[in-house]
Amino acid sequence: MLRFIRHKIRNKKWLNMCLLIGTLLTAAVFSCMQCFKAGSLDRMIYTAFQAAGEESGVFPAILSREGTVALDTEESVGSVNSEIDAYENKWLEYLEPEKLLSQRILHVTGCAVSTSLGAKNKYLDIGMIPDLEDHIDIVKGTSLSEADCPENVVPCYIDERLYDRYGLVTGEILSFNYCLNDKGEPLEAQVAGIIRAKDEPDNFWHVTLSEIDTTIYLGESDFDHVINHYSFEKVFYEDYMLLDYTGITGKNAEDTMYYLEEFQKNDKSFSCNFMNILQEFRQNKKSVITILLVLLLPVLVLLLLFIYMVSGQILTMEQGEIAMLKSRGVNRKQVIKTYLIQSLILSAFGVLLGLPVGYFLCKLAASTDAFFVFAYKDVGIYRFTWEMIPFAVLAGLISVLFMTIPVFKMSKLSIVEQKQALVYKREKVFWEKYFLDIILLILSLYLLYNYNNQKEAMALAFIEGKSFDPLVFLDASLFTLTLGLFFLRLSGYLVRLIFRLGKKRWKPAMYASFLQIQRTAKKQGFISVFLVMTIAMGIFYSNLASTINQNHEERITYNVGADVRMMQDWNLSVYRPAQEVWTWAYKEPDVEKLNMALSDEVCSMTKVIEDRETTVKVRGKKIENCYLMGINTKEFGETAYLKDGLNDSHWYNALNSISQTKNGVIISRNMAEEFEIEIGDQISFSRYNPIPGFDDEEIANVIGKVSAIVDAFPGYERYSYVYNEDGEMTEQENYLVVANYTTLVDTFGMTPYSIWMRLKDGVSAEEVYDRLDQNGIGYSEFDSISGSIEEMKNSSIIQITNGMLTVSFLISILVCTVGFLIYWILSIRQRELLFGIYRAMGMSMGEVNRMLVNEHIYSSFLALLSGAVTGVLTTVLFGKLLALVYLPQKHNVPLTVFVDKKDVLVLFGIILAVFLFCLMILRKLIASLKIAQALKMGED
Amino acid sequence: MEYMIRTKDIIKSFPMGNGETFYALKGLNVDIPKGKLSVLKGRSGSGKTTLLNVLSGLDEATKGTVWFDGQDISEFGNKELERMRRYEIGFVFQSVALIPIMSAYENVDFSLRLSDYPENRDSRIREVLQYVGMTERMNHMVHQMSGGEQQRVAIARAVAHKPKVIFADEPTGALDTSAGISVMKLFRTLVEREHTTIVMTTHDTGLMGLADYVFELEDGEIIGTKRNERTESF
Repeated sequence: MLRFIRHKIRNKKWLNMCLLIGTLLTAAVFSCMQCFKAGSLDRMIYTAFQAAGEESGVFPAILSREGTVALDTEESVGSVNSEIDAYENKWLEYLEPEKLLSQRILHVTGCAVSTSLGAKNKYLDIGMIPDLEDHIDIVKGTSLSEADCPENVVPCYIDERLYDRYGLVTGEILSFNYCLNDKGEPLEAQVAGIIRAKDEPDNFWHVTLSEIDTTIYLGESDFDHVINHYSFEKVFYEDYMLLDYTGITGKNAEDTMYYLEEFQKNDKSFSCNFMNILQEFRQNKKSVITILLVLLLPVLVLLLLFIYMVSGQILTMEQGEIAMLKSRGVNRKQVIKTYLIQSLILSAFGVLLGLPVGYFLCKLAASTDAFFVFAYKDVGIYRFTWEMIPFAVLAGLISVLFMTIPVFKMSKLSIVEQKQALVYKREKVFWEKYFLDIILLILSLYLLYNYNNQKEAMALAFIEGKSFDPLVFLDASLFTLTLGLFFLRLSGYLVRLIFRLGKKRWKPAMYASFLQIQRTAKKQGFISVFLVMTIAMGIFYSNLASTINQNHEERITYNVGADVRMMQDWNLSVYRPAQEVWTWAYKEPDVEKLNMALSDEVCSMTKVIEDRETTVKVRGKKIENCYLMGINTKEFGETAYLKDGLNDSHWYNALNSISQTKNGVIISRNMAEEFEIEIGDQISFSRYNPIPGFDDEEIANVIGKVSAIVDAFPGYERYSYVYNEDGEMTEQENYLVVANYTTLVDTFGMTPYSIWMRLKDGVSAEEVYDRLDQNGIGYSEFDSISGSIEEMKNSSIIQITNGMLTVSFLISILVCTVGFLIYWILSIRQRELLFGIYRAMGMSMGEVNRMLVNEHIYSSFLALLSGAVTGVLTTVLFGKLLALVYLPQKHNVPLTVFVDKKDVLVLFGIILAVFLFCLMILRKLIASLKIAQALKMGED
Repeated sequence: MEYMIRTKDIIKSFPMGNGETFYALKGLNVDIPKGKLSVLKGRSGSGKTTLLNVLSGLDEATKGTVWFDGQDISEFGNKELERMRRYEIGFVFQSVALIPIMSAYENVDFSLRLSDYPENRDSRIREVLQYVGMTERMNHMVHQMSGGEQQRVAIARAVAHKPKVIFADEPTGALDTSAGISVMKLFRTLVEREHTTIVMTTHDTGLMGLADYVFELEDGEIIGTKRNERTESF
């Protein structure tokens, strides 16, 4: 049997090659999905840890425990360490990531201290930090081991801040008057060295020396001696274990979370600082997997249809063989078995080859920057995983099923029925016959209508991090498919109409080709559906990707407002002149230095005061936490960006209006509506004391005259989202007041401002960043449009979307090309006799070509056009809804659907090239046709 | 006697896989009389279909000359051959004679369109279909007709545009005896009424009596010519 199957495969090697390609791509998509999912989740969790670290300035994966050890028996640092080690080992036993290091702080409660230099009542605790000396610099004095101390006096370190605060000096002896030994003598420690943490990035300092505050640090043996011989009841310890968070992956995140919850439940002293990261990951994971599935589903359907189509084609051609086998006594089961084995062999090869192709597709998808835009990226996190294998095998088995479905149908037919199946019949395709296209199209539109009605609730759910309803995406696919089919129905009617209109006048080529199109619509229907789906999906995907990407970019540009926006380090000095109230002053950073340092990179720069805690009052009504901006209008106009069309008039008009009035203000539309004020009305706004604890005291207020009302302004986000008292996510309005910079400084004094910059052409934010570092210019905040856009593009969900849309399109183009070529080559081969008859009857080669071109125009080209219109309509109707999944927040820059004409043209170009290529091959095939031979073949 | 087609020393050869040459026609000379039904008779492989193809311009002779209505078609280019096949010739093929995507009516219509038939096409289609007895089934598709019916439509199609010559390659090959005789009778009527020249191949000796001339072929050569004296008409 195997020899027979081998012969069968060889006999139809091109068609079987197509089946292999279909199976291979299905296995590739399945395994790519798995690889991409694993990589994306790993990457998502890794970037979440990194972002958390950067945002908080604290190492993002720390397990910690606080505890005490009673000193009723003899204890030592060693025994306390053993207890902590036991806890740490237990954690590590369950968790996969490895330990990087631990910071442990041991201390006993001290008391008020008097010193040998006469200081009194300085409260100090006595502490010990294992491995302290590896992580500190001694600013003054000596190390503990080198200290020269009197008898019964232990050497100690103190932190330089404590040294400043308490005015202690090296060599000074500290007497702990209430910490006595057996003889009633107080504990005495001599300051051997003043220390500070080493000036280098060091994760050891999770808790910094300044945070520990009033503590002296002893060496291990002295601490042992002290805790055992003085009147202390217990040792307090804090343990901070830093985990290598690169070991927390998409795969083990769930387990990690489970164990951490268990630790927390069973040990009240245990805590960890990354539960929220894991919880957020758990929520996002659902969205990631759903997006991945819904984006790949249409292409999978396309692939399986392709396999079904090719398999059906092979069977049609082998009907004779099946009939022959059956006439020789082979039963139906044996026929099915033969095809089943053939499918299994092809699938086995498909799976084997599909795995590396899937891996390659995954890497390709990971390196996309936008739809069909590839960039050089580190894609090392997307690794080959063993889970890819069962998925590829599953794909293989599904392919086998789709390959053998037609066999079940075909093997039932008798020889006579098979013969009849071969002839041309005026039959409608099942979807056309039962109006499935129209019914399902209406269903998809109804679903769309429903989703559009629930848009706001859906957006809030997305913002809360709830996973979205995958039906939204599937509805778009259903709409694409059914509208495509509907257009095919219409193009069928159109062909009939055109044919009828010119029926009496059609030249023979047109006459024959129109009849060909109408009478073989069922056969062509399949490839037409392919064409429609591919082009519609391509256009929709490209538009969806650019809608998502461009809206993101526009919103980022709006939010950041300028190429670079940074805040230098500002120092707040607080002082209290004798008997007077506390007062304060900000020390302005050296802006000149900044100007000089960036003279080559920046073309304009401006100071912007930003205060989000301003209170605005109008006629007794007030709004708190308004966003106040103080700007130099000309510079600001030259530096900031604002998209046209967001305001009624150009935003420069608003800038001009306040530049002419010292106390002129621009306010946001929502503020104007809230206070029911118009241009020319007055508002009062006030700012508050920056001293912690005094921040409810008003410093001063300004009476501003409303000069302009705007909907949008660079950096001003009208909406934000917060949880209300019931724990529900709600939308919150933000209000804006823009005043002249000088007015604010005159009224409120020197106020911290951020620097907004517009960069020269070709200069990147990265260069500015480097230049600041080179010049030692510190900053507390640094934000750039390009940096934020890059961050957005690297976010898992955007990466998945761009990657999967690209891969889907690539596969659908490939399948469509192969499908199109195969269909037409076979169609020509099957029609060789027909062409022979045409040529014998005197049709010229030119007429045959015209006939083919006409067939292509009215079948393939109409399908392409239908696909294009379908793609654009899907974008227009579903673009906003689907983009909502990615950008659920309401924003000053409303969601806009982008129909990228260039992309559509490029797409059309690609398809047209494929189309022409196919046509060339077909033309060649027909030109090589020998009439007499063709007729002879017909006879045979 | 007036001849529609004449040939001189026609050779048709094909290269074979082993490097040798196979001669299908070996310097053959035949003259086909105008307005008569001529039959090329011979066993399978005798070269009758090859000869028919060469005479009708479907295939080119390797050597030799073919005159079609006085014109040397060996000198014709593709366009002239196409023109000749389109306007001056009608074909009836053995088994799959009709265009399967068209109905009986459309098949005939297609042929008329090809030859730019100057008069009313519809009445001519109905006329020829009536002539072959297929009026009632003119809207039937090919697969809805029997072999004999298909061949009748093929004949209607071949004669519709009033060609000078009808070539028929084994037109009765796939038919039973009575259907075969019925086709032959149709041919005879055409010859009698419209003075069409018909050249057909067959190996059915039972049908020879209905021909005016019978040319017997063997191994690519004419080995005998027979003229039937006919008095009856159909």
